[in-house]
Amino acid sequence: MTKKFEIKVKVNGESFKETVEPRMLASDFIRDQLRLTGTHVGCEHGVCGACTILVNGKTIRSCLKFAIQLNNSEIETIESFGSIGKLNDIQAAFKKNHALQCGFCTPGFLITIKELLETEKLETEEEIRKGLSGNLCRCTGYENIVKAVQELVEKRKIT
Amino acid sequence: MKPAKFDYINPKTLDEALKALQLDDVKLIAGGQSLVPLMNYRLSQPSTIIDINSIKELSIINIMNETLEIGSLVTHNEAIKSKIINNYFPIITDAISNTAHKTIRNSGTIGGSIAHADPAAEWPLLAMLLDCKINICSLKNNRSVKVMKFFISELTTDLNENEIIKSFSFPLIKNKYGWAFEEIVQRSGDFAIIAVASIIEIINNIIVEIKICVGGAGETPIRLSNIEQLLKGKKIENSFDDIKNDQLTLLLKPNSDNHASAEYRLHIAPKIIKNVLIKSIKNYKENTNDKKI
Repeated sequence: MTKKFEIKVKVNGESFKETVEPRMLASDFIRDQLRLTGTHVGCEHGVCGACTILVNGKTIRSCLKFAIQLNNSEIETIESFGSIGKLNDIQAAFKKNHALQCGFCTPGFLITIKELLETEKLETEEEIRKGLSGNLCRCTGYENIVKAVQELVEKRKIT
Repeated sequence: MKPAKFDYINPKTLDEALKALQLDDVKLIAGGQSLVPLMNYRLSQPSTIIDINSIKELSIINIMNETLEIGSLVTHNEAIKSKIINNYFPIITDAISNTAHKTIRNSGTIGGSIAHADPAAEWPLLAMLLDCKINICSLKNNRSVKVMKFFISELTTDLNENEIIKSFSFPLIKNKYGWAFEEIVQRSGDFAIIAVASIIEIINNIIVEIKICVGGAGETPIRLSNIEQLLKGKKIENSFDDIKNDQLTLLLKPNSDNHASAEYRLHIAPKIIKNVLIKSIKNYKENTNDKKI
């Protein structure tokens, strides 16, 4: 019988104490146990980037971590962004630039872009594309996603 | 839940981890960026996972005795950000910026990458290029292995089941040198179709030491010892045009896979190797300041 473990996590500011099996992936933990289904699960082997979340301020692929490894960490998922009535800046830039169609990859892109805007210069289109290269989108052809990021970078300069 | 069942151990010290390694059918996890995909596919089904992320002594970056020591748990992004690494080996900063994507680099480690031994990955290439020594410990003894003996084949190393890689020792380069790194990939962050790196040490316009290494062109990264011998002692003004393509590809044994055919790899390798040699000389000329040693 595999031993279960108790973990404590803070997700989007809310504290949780949960019991998990070691093999529970972080992505399944967030979606199935915490019922935060905004984090999407695409390939489940670290290729598509849809399940990207922030752990202690850094992005990780939640399908490549075990929930137990999140013990005592602070997590941000897409639910920490804006709501339909009040989009945050990144979401608003996506909407304005038509940077999504089906929307499946979007949570992963938005989280990735949050980290990129905080840590990278993103001065050229090439740098932006390199920053986005870990996230796959089958609808947009990426053009409008790049445009949205360019707009956010411009806005970042002003503020 | 995709992976098969396993028990989980989270040791706080190296000693605790080494003791846990005595169990049957265990696997170490660091960043998990190669292991967890294999577990999600159930290609790997260890009974016990030993998570070494809490072992602080594995995260060091130090200069000692003319050697850069990097702990096995240092992540790709920590290595990229390290001023010490950048000061002595800017080639590491540059090459590792091409390893996977930022998110993967937040988790993936030097130890994981070199222990995984993908011949197209950047860390194994740098280890082979820079004559790295791998410092390994087990309950019984500690040992250091030269990189040439460490990589045995694709995804196969000299590491035993009861051992942990503690750190990597990169001997500092004594003379003023130029360096370059270049790789061909389908998409930024993918494994290289061909990756080439070189370090050329120069005194009075003479090549006194030269290291060239190619990744993605065989079962391990390959040092072009024939070209190194050919160019050692030569003046830097001599162009590399005289070197024939079949000399450049003599030691390469690429395989075909879904990214590129062996023929294509052999076709582009000479061009990339020459580019890297030319760029290394250019880099030497542009960086007239002595490296701090």
